[in-house]
Amino acid sequence: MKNKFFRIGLAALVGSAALGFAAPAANAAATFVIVNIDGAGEGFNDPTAVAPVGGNPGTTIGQQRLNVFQAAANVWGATLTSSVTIQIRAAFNPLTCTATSAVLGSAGARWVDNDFAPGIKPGTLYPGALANKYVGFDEVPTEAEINAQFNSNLGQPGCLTGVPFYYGLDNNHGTNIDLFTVLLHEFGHGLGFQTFTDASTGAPFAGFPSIWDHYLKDQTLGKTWVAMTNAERAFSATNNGKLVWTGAGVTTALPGVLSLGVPQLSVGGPASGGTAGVYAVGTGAFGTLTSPGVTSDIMPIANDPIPPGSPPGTLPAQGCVPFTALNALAVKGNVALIDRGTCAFTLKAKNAQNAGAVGVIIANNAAGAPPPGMGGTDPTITIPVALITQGDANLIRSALTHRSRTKSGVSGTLSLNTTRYAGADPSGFALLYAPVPFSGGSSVSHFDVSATRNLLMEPAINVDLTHSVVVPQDLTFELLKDIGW
Amino acid sequence: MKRINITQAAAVIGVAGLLGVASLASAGDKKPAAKPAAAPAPAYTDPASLQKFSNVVVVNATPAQRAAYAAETRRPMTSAQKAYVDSAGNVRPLTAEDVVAEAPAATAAASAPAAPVEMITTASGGHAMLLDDSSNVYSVATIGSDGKVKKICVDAPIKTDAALESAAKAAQENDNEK
Repeated sequence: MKNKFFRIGLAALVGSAALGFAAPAANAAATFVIVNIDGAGEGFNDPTAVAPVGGNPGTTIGQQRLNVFQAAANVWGATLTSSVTIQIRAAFNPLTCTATSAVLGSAGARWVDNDFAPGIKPGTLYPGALANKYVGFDEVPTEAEINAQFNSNLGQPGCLTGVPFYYGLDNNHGTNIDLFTVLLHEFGHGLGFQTFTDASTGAPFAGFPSIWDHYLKDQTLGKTWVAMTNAERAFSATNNGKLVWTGAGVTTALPGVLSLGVPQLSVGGPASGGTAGVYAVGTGAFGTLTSPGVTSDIMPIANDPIPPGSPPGTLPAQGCVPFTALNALAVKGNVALIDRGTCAFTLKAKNAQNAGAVGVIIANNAAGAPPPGMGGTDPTITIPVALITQGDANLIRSALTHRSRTKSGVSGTLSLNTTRYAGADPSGFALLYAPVPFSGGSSVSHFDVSATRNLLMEPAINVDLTHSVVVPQDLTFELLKDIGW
Repeated sequence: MKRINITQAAAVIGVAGLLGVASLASAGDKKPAAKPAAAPAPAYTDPASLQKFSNVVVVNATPAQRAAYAAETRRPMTSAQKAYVDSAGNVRPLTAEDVVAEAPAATAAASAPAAPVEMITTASGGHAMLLDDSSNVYSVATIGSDGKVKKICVDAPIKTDAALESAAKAAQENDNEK
């Protein structure tokens, strides 16, 4: 590594000095060069005539595509600072798709380097664009820094039929897919919003940790990723709710972006034993949790009655029919515990409410974490409703075996914790996405989906995103600053 | 630097093109008026025809760049990459010995073996590592049972309908599942 520094030579040292590592730029600016790699008459060169749309004055599909690329790159160019141009090798190609699903596109760093300059974290991979910023010249002039390609067939028959890219620049995409937002997100990855470590195995790429890994900490293990073994990193990648970003930029800015209030289930009471604690919950657009919330005994319902004319047997305790007298007795004034499945969440909740329950906990019927959100709406549901993981539900059920017909001795409080930021852990660090099971490409290299407001770099690109990457709309730039931008 | 060359080349081509047009127009003035033919659509989008942004420049790739890209995209996709380091811990290029050493493991592997990382020499004489699109982050969209479009990032290159289906499943939040 030291030898490599010497190879860099005087040019790098001069470049580094000129860059001034510690001094923030007064006026952020970087120049992006979009290299249209498409062939004649296709992709960016598609001559099909179209009308200008949403602030995009292009009159061909090719022009409009390039204009959106420019607009997205320009957001980053006005935000980042680098004296070296950042080249994006870009194309529109026919990518894999069916009538209901499609690859929108992909992007990533084109090259990475380590130990290219003094003052950086040693033995650590940096994405090309950031490496160039540090050294002050183009380390690899024969290659772009970001590689990107997007789907040229989107919206056509057989390719997410009827849902094309929206080429306007005004975020007025309606039910179409806002290319501007997708590009901002993907360019974010290309600029360094990703680990190059294989998060499923924990193996660092080429044996080197990524700059990303220096700021990734597992709160259970109490270690950053650079201090872990491969096995520890693989564990950490699915340690939902415990994987955080420790960079000062994100941590400091977080209160200005995320909102206070995390829905949760607190379990206690004389019979709770080892189940006492706070559990993550999924919520929906009905049965909102509030502060200080409601507290009562958790009471599971028994199996549902068989509808007349059905084969003999039992139905699982899913709350899909009006509660029997025994179930109504159990949940009256209590928090009902109901299995997920068969019918809508809203129907379960309404049946429990009608039976006198003061709250509803729905137990997921499949393994995994975090607990997903719940679909459906019903403004007549006035009691709090939350979904917990199957694992948590099984744990809580283990404490309910000695209940009476009306009491369990295990209390549940469904509430909104107004001392925590949505998307941060109790210590105030931003949560990274670490679901169970591991989700390649989503896990670790994104903010957690619990973030509220929605952030650009969550794994799911939400429709309510703005085109901003900075505070107070977003934390992406703060994270990129943490890694050296 | 390549980028300057691209820009310069584009400028030169642009000037040459203008000169060519001017020359043709001049020649045309001396001939009897001919029925104007419809101008063929340009093969490549002219960067000068695009909206202007203060921090972005668009250039059309050179034929050599396009050829290199086409060759690259024809290459079989790798599921993973592997790099080699020297005794000092520096990444080094692949050697023939590495290829021989990897052969048994590659044969035994149930899936495609990790391809060696492609090394590139930096301007300062060091080595950087080239990433192919297996290192990219992919964005997938799917229409859920509720009719809403959901999007999610995945990292595996998606080249088949089966892979797409798997990714689409991950994109679903299952929020309307019964």
